[in-house]
Amino acid sequence: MFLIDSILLAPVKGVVWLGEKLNEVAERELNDDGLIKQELMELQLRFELDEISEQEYNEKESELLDRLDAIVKSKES
Amino acid sequence: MDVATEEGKYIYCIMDSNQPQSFGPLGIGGRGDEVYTICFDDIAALVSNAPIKKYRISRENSITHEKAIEAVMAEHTVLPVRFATVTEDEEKVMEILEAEYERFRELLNQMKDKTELGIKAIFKEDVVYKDILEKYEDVRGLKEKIAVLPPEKTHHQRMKIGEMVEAALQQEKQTIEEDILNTLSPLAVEVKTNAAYYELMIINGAFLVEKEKEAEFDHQVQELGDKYGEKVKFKFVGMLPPFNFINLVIDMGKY
Repeated sequence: MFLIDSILLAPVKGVVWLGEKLNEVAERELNDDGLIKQELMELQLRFELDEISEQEYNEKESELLDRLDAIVKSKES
Repeated sequence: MDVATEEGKYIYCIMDSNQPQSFGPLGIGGRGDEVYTICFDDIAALVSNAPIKKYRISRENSITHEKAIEAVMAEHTVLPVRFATVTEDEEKVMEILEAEYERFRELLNQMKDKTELGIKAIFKEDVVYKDILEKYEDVRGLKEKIAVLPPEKTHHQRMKIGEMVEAALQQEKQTIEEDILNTLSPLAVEVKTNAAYYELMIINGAFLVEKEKEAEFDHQVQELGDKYGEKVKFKFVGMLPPFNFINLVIDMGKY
């Protein structure tokens, strides 16, 4: 069973190279996106615990990912 | 060709292998691309052909990402690369392997014969509150006292009970979390506890464990399950790539 939160929360260890600028961007993103990421993890947990169906999960996930995309996009422009 | 659909190499992980090898049509993107190794000396990158684009952290994508790494981890030490890392072509991958050889080698040595085990423990909602009422006399006393009064007169007391229950819940969580950590940490090389992002979550922990200690770890988890099973739901995931301990970030601008 996979844990999305491993990906979302994994620390950056063994960084090959990360420019300062990139780092700043990453940090800002973390703050802005934090809430949505938390919701994603909570959603995943509810699914793992069989509290919601796969269909419900997929619908809600797609909604959250759209919001995440929108945030990323608004930052790029 | 459209820029948005330019083809590249999606990198899943770095691993110890000196053999060009295919692991089957497990690639990301749903096209059935082969997942295979690109080697430099005795290390390799596990890749598949994939369009250079943004990849959403959907369950489907992240499961694909993980499955590819799991396909090789039984036989190899792996260093997970950050989700959605895509390079231009094979030459770029070789350049990265060559330039970062020593760091990769060192991390591979650190991760050799180790695996990640994850534990989530969550209170069973219906049981834990009943449990608190039984165990905490002050909460029970106050509850019984106001039960006979009309609701509009007990607003303040009900708030108070809410706070007391909340405090009791924290107390219960802490006790069990400590027990879990005290039991399992000695068996691990490294421990990482992530924030409990769910009200009833007691612990969300990842343990880096030597493979030879995995059976003992399993056994201890089993014991914890027996001990707390009535009121706690355990979610135990075993033999994962060390996602919580290694997450290689490769900046393509450098190569």
